[in-house]
Amino acid sequence: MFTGSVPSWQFTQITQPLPTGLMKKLLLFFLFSFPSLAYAQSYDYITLRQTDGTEVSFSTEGLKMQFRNGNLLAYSKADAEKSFPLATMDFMFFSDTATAIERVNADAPRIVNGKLTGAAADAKVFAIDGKPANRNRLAAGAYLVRTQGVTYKVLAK
Amino acid sequence: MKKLLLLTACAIIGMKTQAQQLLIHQGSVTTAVPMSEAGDMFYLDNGNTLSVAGCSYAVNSIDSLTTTKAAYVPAQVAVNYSAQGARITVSTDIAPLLTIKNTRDSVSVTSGTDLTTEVTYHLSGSSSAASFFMDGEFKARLVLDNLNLTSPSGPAIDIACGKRIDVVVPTGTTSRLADKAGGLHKAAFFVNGHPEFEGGGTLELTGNAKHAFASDEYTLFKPDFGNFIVKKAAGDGIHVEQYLQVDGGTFNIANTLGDCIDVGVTKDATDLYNGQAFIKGGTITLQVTAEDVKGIKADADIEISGGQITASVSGLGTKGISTDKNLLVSETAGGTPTRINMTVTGTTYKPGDPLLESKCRGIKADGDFTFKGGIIAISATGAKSKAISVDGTYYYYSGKLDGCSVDAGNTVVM
Repeated sequence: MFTGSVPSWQFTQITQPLPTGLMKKLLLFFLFSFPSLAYAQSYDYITLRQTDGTEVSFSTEGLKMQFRNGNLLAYSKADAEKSFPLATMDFMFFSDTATAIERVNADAPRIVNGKLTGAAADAKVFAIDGKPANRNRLAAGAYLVRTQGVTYKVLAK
Repeated sequence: MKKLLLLTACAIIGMKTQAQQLLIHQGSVTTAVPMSEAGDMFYLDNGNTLSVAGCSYAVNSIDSLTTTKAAYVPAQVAVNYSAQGARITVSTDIAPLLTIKNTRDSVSVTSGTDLTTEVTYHLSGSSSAASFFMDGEFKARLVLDNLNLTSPSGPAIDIACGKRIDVVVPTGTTSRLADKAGGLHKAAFFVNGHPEFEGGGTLELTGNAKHAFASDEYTLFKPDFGNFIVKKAAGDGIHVEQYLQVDGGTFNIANTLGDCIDVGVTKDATDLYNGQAFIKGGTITLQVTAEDVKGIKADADIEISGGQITASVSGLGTKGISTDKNLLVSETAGGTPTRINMTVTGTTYKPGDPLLESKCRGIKADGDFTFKGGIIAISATGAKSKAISVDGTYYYYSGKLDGCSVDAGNTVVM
């Protein structure tokens, strides 16, 4: 997905009539530059975060993950197999770099008195079994809150 | 050129590309998740549950997770058949709303009222003993992509949802469907709903139990439709209820023990165009060889306003075109010319039988016949056969009868 801003000159420069040949070249430029635009944001890595904060990244090229005997086994074309106890796994995410990003959870939503707070109006709340939950009537337990493209694990006490 | 350039630039910039996917493999079913929407994938329940994009998976049900750079297609169920069984890939946006069952010989996908997205079912591959079933409460799109399917029982494809079903036969593809002989099912390809056929490819059907194709609501063949071939049918080649509209396509229907094309009325008399057939284009070739059957049969009016119909009417007591009501043959200005060519060589079915005797006719209208354009050329040589027989009134406006005449109770030249 291309999410970068587009320089305004790309449009402002086309205010005067251009020779047909130049226009064709520009059109071809746009058409053939499409693949590079499409892959501008490439998810080249998956990062596995454990409950102690440890993060390990794997290339997504040739990635394979399996679950065996209470462990997560992962390898890719560039990375040798590693094993992680499932009980220590927190979450994982795709990114364009292998560098783990420190999560800033100050803005994370919270559940207070059974009601979701600190989340956008269109935030979606799911129980851990994936079923949608009412954001204003949340019993004690763990929930997933998806808002503005980020999913948070939130506990209701 | 400038507009094209700007449109291209806007399209490229605005395009949301989801070219990388996480694939969650569970047995023969794979769930596809675009990486851009996977977000944080949490391990819950002491690591026994994995949550991805709002869906939870028991980790012991997951065979593996892999990745691909193939483009993500939302709202799609892709089924690829092989001798080893079918593999199914479903996009994550609709996966929680579907119930998918994949046995050795059948793939079944059902949904409830909570599915309000049009799902594309993309079927491909080959199997000599498998079928596809779909039911739901919402319209759908069915893509037959070089699919070769012979069912071990029931229809090869059975669509039960009762809604509009786009049936796409992509250009350059050939799909073949056949069912197993016996059983009470209606057709090798059955649609409970109203199918609309499109795409320039070829669909070839063999109806071993009853009809080759059947639908219980109106059926439309769009102008860009390719080829529809019925190799064999124990009943009708095409059996449609409510109405049939052919805007385009090339039809070759042969070896039917029933009618080549049969349009019947539904149980609801108020249904639109109930029992009617509209031929507006296309090329239809019919081999009417069985006894006492029809090439094109409709319980109500037949309107032919374009296209070419060619029929070999050779079975005893057969009719090339037969309507219980009225027939209109016309030609639309700027449309496809109307041409009807028939050779009628059949003789009488059960001659002398007071109830069952049936004479061979090129065209038979129980009501009126209105001729407003086009060319009708019928050679009727079978004993006691006729080119055109009209029980009601023959209204002639324009058009050419080539080598044939109309036998009508009353003729009115307008």
